[in-house]
Amino acid sequence: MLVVKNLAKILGGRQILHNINFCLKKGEIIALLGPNGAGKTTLMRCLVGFYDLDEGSVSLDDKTMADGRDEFLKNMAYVPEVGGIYPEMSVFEYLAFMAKLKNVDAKSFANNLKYLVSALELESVINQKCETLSKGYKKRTALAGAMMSYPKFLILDEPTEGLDPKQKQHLREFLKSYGKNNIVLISTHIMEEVEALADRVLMIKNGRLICDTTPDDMKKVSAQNSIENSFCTMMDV
Amino acid sequence: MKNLAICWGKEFKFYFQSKMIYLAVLVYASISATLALYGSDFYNVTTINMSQFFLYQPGVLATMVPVLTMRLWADEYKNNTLEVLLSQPISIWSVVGGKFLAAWSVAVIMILSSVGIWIVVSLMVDLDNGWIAINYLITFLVAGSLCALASAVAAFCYNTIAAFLGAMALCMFVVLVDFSSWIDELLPNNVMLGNLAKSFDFKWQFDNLIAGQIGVAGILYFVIVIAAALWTSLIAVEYKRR
Repeated sequence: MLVVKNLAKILGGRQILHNINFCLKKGEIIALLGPNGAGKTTLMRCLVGFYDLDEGSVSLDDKTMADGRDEFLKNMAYVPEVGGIYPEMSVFEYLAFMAKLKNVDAKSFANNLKYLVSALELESVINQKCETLSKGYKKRTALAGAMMSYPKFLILDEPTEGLDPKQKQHLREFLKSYGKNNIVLISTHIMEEVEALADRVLMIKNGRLICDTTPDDMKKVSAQNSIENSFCTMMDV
Repeated sequence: MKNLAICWGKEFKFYFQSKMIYLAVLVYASISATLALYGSDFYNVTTINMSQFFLYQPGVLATMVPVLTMRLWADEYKNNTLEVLLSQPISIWSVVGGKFLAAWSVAVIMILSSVGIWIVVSLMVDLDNGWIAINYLITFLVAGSLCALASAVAAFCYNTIAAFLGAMALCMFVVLVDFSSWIDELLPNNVMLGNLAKSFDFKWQFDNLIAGQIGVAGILYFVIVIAAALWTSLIAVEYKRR
C-alpha cells in the first residue's frame, strides 16, 4: 500500500503541491488527471524520490525513504512522458543497465528480460539502438526498463501518447494484467484511457487534490454521462 | 562502489559508441605532437627531451577536456534520463563520480596516445624514463583536475555548447592565469600574500611538479581541486532537483 500524507512541494519559490493526501492499494490502477500545470508531473517526481519533499511523507508498505532509500526506490519505477532512455544504447544494453541499477541478479534479469521483451513485443528491436526506434518502441523500451525489478509501484506519464491504436490496446492489456498484483499510477489526458484502464481517478487542480473517485462515479457528474465532460465540468468549478 | 562502477561503465562505453574517443585521441595526439616537435630546441639533439611536451600539456588538456565533458550532463537533461536515473536506488555521488571517472579515464587514454612521441625521442637520445613516467602521472593528475572542473561546469548547463564553452573558459582561466606573478607585480613586498597566491595557482603547482619539486602539498592541491569540483557538481545536480 502506498500512503501519501500531507505532501507539499515548493519549486522555484512557488508552492506547486499543497497538502496532498491519498492511499493507493495493491491491485489498483489509478489515473491521475488534471490540466496542464496542475502539478501532476511534480507529484509523480515526488513519489519516486526525484524531488525531496518539503513537507509530508510517502510510504510504500509502511516504509519511507528514510527507512532505506535503496530498498524504497527498488520497489518503484517511473517512466516520463518523453525520453527516459539513452539513445546511444541498444534496447538490450538499456534493459541490462536498468537491471544493474535496480540491483537485479543475473538469473532474475534473464527471466525478466525474456518475459518483458516478449510481453512488450521488443524482440525485433532488441539489438537496435534506441535512437533509431519509433516512438512506440521507445515508450515500450522505457517501460520495460522501468519494470526490470518488477516494482510494486509503477508510475507512467502519458504511457500511450503517440502510440497507434493497436499498440495502445496492447499496452493497456499489459498494464491491466500487471496492475492486478501491483499499484499502477497513470497520468493522462486521454479520457478513453481512464475508462479503459483505471479503477480509480485522482484529480489535481492548482496543486491540490480535488477529487478521489472512480471512473463510473466521475461520469455521473456530467449530464451526458461522459468522463471528458465531467473532467471539464470539474476543472471549471 | 558497485553503482559507481555501473555509472562509470555506462559513460565510458558511450565514448566508444559515439566514436568521440577516436576523434579526441586524433586531435589530442596531433596537437601534442605538433607542440612537442615544433617547440623550441626539439631538433637540437644535445638538448632534446620531453620537457617541451609536458610544458604544454595543461593548455592542450584545457582545450580537449571540455570536449570530453560537454555532454556528460546536457544529454541527461535533453533525454529526460536524469529523472529516471535519480529515481533509481543509487546515490547522486555514484552518478557524479561515475561521470567524472569516465571522462578522466578517456583523458588518460588520450594522453597515453602520445606515448609514441616518447618512443621516438627515446630512440634518438638517452632519456630518464623514470622521470618521464612520473611526468605522465602528473599529467594524468592535471587531466583529472580539469575533468572535474569541466564536469562541474557541465552539471550547471542544459546544453552541450554552453557546457563546452563554459568549461573551456574555466579550464583556460585556471591553466593560463598566473596569479603569483600578478601578486608579485602588484604587491612586490607582500611575501605572505604572494605565497598564498602561489598555493592557489594551478600553473605554479604544475610547473613545480614537472620541475621535479614533487611534494605532498603539490599533489594534495590537485586532489583538493578534484574534490571541490565534484562537490560543486553534486550541488549543481541537487539544485536541478529543487
